[in-house]
Amino acid sequence: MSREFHEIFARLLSRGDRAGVVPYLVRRRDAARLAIYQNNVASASIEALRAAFPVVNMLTGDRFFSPMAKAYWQSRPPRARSLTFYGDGFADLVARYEPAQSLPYLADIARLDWAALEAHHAAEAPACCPNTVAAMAPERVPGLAPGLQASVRLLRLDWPVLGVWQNHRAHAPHAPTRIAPGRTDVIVYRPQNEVLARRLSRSEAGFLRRLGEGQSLGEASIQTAASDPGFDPASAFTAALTAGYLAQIEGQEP
Amino acid sequence: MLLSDLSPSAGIGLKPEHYRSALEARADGLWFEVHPENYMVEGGPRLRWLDAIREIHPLSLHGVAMSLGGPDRPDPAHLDRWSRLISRYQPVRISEHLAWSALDDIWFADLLPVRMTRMALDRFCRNVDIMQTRLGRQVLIENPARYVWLNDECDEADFLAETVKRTGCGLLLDVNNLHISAHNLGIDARDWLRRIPVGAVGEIHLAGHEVDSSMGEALLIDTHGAEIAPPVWRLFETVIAATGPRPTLIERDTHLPDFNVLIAERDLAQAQLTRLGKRAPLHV
Repeated sequence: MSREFHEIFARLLSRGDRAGVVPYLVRRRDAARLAIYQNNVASASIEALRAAFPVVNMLTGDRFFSPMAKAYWQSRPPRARSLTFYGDGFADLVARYEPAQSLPYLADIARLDWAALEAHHAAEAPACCPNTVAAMAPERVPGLAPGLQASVRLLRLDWPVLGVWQNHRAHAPHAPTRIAPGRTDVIVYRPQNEVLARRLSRSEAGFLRRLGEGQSLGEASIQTAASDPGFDPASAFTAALTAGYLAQIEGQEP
Repeated sequence: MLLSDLSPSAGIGLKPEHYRSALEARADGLWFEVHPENYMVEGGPRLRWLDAIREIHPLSLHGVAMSLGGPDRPDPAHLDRWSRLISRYQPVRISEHLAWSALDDIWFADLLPVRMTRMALDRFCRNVDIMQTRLGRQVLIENPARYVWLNDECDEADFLAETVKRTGCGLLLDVNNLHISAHNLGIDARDWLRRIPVGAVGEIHLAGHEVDSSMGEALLIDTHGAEIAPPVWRLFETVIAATGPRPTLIERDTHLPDFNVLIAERDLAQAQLTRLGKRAPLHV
């Protein structure tokens, strides 16, 4: 069946090709009005990105953000039927975006914004309950492989910008000055209603990443200690359990 | 029992900024409407707010992404997501648009104009039928806000009337869109009203529009960003004189005011519904 009109209209929207649509217009003067659709389509995506990356927008301002978002829309138009999760490659574009090169940490800010968005909408999943573990025979514990609670996102950033990001999210922005590059491990998750973010030590991050891959507590402890002899598995496990990073263990009552 | 169960009442389009006010509001007959696409997430506070609000108020789902006016059949995965939301929220009404928004795998996130040919009518009816069958519900179809006049083969009122006849769908009569289309294209709104099956109108939308920033008064834009304009209120009176009172929604998407401002507009619409509902329906 004919798709011609839709294809021509789609070219108007993605490439600005207005001439193709003109033969379908009863009144030639309506050609100028086609701009309404072009603007709506571009601005829907730009505004969705602005909402998804609030701290990137705060740090750069609306007038810087809009063309950057438009560049992303042009390279990766939405494919899902909702804009809620539009922008999964935006941090990579920010890293490459020429006008943003003076803010080399901006891509890490975008990664934090995205992790917060994903954590915010992640499935409801109760965390592993410390009491359940406490009630277990101690020899069973190393064999547990709880995995991570559904909202947990582990990030390895190139810049120490967690504080800058958190201050902006709390609407207490202060301009970041003299940030030196430095690897920073961060966990972003939603224990209840609010998304939280914390800095992790390198070994804690490695431990959680291994648990996230399905390793048992015993395996993850041994492997993490192998790369960091000072790693204390017992305290890392207790911290993860207390904070609610771990998923409910199979058979545990919710 | 709520007033809305007994006679058509007025509701408000629900925005996240108003969740708490919506939960606390107790106006008789108040109902809410959301775009289901904004709730197609795995979990989190957005779904829980809507759960809580739905406990108290009737809810309607108003889709913007089914692309019923496109060349392709509705996306089965999108229908599945719709179906899950219907199970979760038990909406009192569901609706979509006479528009398209997707082609191949790109979603344009806008309501794009349908060129109303006989083939387009066949495809549109097929798609409405697929949606209704998959969801097991009647869908109300909203008339578009039109900006350009395409070389159609039939006009909008006939296209909608035929869709109702063939699919058993209902209509969502957007009074603001009708006003905008009449203004922008020179359509006669009263004639349009005479030619749609008024008995199929299951819901009415009221919203604000704005004058185009570059083309001025000649072109009205459906922005949902202003208060409802006086001519739209007058057309609303004409509409409900023809259809009888119908559930009526106040839509506001941009320049979002305080919840109380929307409640005030909603109360005006409610007063109209109540007043005109006391008279027998007339024909325009």
